[in-house]
Amino acid sequence: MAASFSIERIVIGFALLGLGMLWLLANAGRVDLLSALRTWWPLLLVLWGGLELVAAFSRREARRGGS
Amino acid sequence: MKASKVGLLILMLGFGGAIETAWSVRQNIGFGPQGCRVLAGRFYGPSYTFDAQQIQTVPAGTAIEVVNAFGGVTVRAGDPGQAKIALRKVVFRPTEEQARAFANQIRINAAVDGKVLRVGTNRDELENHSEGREVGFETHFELTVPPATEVTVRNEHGRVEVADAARADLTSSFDEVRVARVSGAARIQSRHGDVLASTIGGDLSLLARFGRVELQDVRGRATVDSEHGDVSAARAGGLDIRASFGDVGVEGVHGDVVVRSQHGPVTARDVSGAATIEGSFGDAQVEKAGGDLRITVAHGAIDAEDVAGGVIADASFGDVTLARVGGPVQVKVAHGGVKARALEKGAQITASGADVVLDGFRGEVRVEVDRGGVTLVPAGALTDAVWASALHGAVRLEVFPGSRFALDAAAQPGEVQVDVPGLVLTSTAAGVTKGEIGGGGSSVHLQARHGDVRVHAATTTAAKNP
Repeated sequence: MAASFSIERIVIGFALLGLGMLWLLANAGRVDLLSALRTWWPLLLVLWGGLELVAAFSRREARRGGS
Repeated sequence: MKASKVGLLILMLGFGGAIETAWSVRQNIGFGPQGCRVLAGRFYGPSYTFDAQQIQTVPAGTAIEVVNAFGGVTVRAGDPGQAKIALRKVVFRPTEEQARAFANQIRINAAVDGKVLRVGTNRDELENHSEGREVGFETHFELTVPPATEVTVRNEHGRVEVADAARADLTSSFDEVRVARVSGAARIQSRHGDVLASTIGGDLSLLARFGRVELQDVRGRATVDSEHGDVSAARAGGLDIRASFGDVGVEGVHGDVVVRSQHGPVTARDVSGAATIEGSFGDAQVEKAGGDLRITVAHGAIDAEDVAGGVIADASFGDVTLARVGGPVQVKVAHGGVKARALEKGAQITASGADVVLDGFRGEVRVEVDRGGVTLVPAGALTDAVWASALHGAVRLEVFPGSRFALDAAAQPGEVQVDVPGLVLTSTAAGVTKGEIGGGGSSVHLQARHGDVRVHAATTTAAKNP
């Protein structure tokens, strides 16, 4: 049985992934953590919005296929 | 929308807000530049100190003006004809080599401009370079100038100390200001730091925003405007103090004193002239005033003793206590009583909420009390007019031998008791008694509503004036 599709979990997953990567790079001396976070944090909102749109289109297609 | 989405959105916006706030703090307060930190106007981190010195020949009568930021300024009197300028440079860099390289760029700017020697550094020039913006550095001046020099200092983030000058004009923002032994006038503006001024030969004008103010031995008149901090002044030739938040203490003033205080008690001792005190929240206390005393306190008590002139006191939510007053007294108290001893020239008193007790008074007295009693004990034989009225309280008068007056006493509802040898009653009715003693004279009118009136022979020794 397939697991249910949860956008929130995907967003949290990407957020943790991004935060961990930035932190790692900051510790390695490659980036300034605060500066990078300040620049890139709105990307989470963009990602979430994109996933919501994809989910909405998917539901619409599924309803058309069923009717 | 699902609760999980709302929660995630709030979490995400909170995270973003925290990041933006941290960024803003770092940009504006100055976290970050390597080797230095600016917190509350100071640098922190590894630092190295380097010294520089310059001697400038100055014509007689040349004034000096020092402009500095981030570092102390000390000006003292030295040899005539020259100014010695010592600069201590403190550079905040990780290594001594880096600090020395930067310190070599810091210069003393000193030049005589007309009748003024202007002293400063090239800080502005350095801070316009990219490296200068990132490096924290302090410049501490120690100047030795010819005796009797007029000194002007404009400083920020550093202690200012001036001694043995002809005049002083000092502005400082984030540290202590000390000025001593100025033969002429002094003007001080301090925003965040204590101010200590002593032995000023002329007038003193002082503006302090956050910090304690302490004045000593000001020959001229001192004008103090203090917002947040205690003010104390000793031995001044007149004082005008405005204080917003803090205690005010004044002692040994040869002249008039004016104190306007909003949130703090006021104490004045040994004032040769008149004293005017206006307070909002705090008690006012005066000991030994050579002139008239005028006190207004909105929420607090008044205590005054040994006043040569008259007293005008207006208080609410606190008692008024007076002792040994040479002039006429006028007191108004709301929600408080009055206790007075040894009043030489009579009194007019209006009070509500507590008793009025006059012990050892001379001259005409008029007392009106609401929700309190009146006790009157003259200093000796009573010959002056007395008018006393109490609403919801008793009226009591002590009579000494030799008194001459016509009595008119009324108590409704209540009773009038008269027990004075030699006082002849001419009329007694329900609650109203009239009589005279010593053949009559001034009118003594005593009236109580919802209380008794009692007139009896003196049993206590009234307070005597020295």
